[in-house]
Amino acid sequence: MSDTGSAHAAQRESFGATPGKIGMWLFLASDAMGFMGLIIAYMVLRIASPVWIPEQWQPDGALAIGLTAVMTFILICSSMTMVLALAAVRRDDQKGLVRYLGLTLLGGLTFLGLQVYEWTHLIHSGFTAPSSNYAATFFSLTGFHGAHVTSGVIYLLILFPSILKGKFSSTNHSPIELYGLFWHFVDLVWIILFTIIYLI
Amino acid sequence: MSAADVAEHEHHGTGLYWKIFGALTVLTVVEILWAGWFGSDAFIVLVLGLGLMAGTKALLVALYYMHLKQERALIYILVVTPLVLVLIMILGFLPDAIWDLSQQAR
Repeated sequence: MSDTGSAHAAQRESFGATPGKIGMWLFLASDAMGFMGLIIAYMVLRIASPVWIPEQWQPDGALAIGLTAVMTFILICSSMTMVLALAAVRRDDQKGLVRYLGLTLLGGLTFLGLQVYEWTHLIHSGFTAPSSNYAATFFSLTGFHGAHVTSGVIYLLILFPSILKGKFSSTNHSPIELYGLFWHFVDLVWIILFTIIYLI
Repeated sequence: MSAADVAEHEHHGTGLYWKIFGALTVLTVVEILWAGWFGSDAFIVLVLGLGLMAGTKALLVALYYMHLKQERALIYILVVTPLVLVLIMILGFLPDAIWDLSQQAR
């Protein structure tokens, strides 16, 4: 045990981070390249298109900024509750951990519900992926991001039984910390997508 | 980030997290107003302003919520590497797209 413990300590000391954290950051870095590949494709298509928004959606486009502003605020709130949940477990506040992660889960589910509402509304009004590059890139980017939010919600649902049983503490909270990194990344990506797709 | 770093960071409570939350909210509101003010009339101003604000928001999330500020060199290398690669891709693709558009305009 002591040999294993000192080996872990040496490994941690030499890399400056736990293997779990290095793994999560590596995943996020490669995932970021996936998102950026899609964003570059969006930018190239948009710049090279003489008319980006098809005539029937002129002049303001088909997308509603008000609804997505609310979605953005919800994700920012869920990032806040996520970081508060991590702070709670670090001071062994089990009630705080459950409360803040519950709110994070609620934020994720609300975001997904609003995205389903937005997509349904757009598709019923004729704004479908094959209808234009404008629509195709919109569905690709927001769909890819929505899949990440869905993964985050499932990830948290899997963690929740252990959270309710009080299995995490100030000395054992690595899964919460790693989950937090993923969830904040999802929020960070949405911040960029909201600006690029809806505001520019 | 070590446990000691975190303990030191959160020793003074969660006030910093709330300040970041406030900044993210205010910047989002300003972004929406900015988009309304400039629209397509001043596209460069629109893009530069929104790019700056979105970049600031993303940086705040990464530095303070993801605790990147307290990480060591290895994590920074992991984060910066894809950004450099993507920058190279952008420098490769965008001039081509702009050239294509200028040819269509002729």
